[in-house]
Amino acid sequence: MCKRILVIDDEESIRKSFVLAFEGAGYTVDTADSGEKGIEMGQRDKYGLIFLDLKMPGMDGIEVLRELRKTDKDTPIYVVTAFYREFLNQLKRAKEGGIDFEVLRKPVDSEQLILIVRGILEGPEVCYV
Amino acid sequence: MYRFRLYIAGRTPRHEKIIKDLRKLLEGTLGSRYSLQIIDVIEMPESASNDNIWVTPTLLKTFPLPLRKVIGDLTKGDKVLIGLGLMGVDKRKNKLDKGRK
Repeated sequence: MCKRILVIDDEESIRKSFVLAFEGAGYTVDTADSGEKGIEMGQRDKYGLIFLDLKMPGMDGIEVLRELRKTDKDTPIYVVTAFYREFLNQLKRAKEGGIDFEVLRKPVDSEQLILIVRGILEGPEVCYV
Repeated sequence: MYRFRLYIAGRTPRHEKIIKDLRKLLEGTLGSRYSLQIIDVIEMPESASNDNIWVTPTLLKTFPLPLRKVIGDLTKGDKVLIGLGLMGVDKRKNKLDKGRK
């Protein structure tokens, strides 16, 4: 499986924390600071895993997810969001449209990020956090 | 009786395959000595919060203790069993034990 990861998030500090965690664990990471740029990169290059912020200015995570899934049905896409009903309700639109995704609770630390990536790209992981 | 909860986001064909594969894996390992509850985080975020679930899919063993959480690619059966601490469990064990009593 491809070990290249794409992170789509408008917040620079979040993008940097993802890059720091993944590159430290030996993975290649690309970042996009907007939904539009993320779609362009996701459709142009092949990734093993995509992390997508739900709330972004301009195109939000749902719109980006929908666009990415038009051309790529298989790459695991983790929508990063708080696990509150008000946020998760927005994902019902995608769910009811049959769009495939997973969710990752915000905030997330570097240990959790590495567990997910290893769990997806190299087989399941036991987690104690 | 072993008890598991599977936390997922939505119910796409891929999720259905994860559920089907897990049931087959647990059935092959534990026979009928298990229950698997499916919880959609999108519909039941409070339940995810109570179990401190932070990513989907997560397979949680709630009984017997200790709790075990396995995340990531749940289609890799052997690694899932190792993660759950079930590698080497004999699905006939209960039947044999009952037979002796």
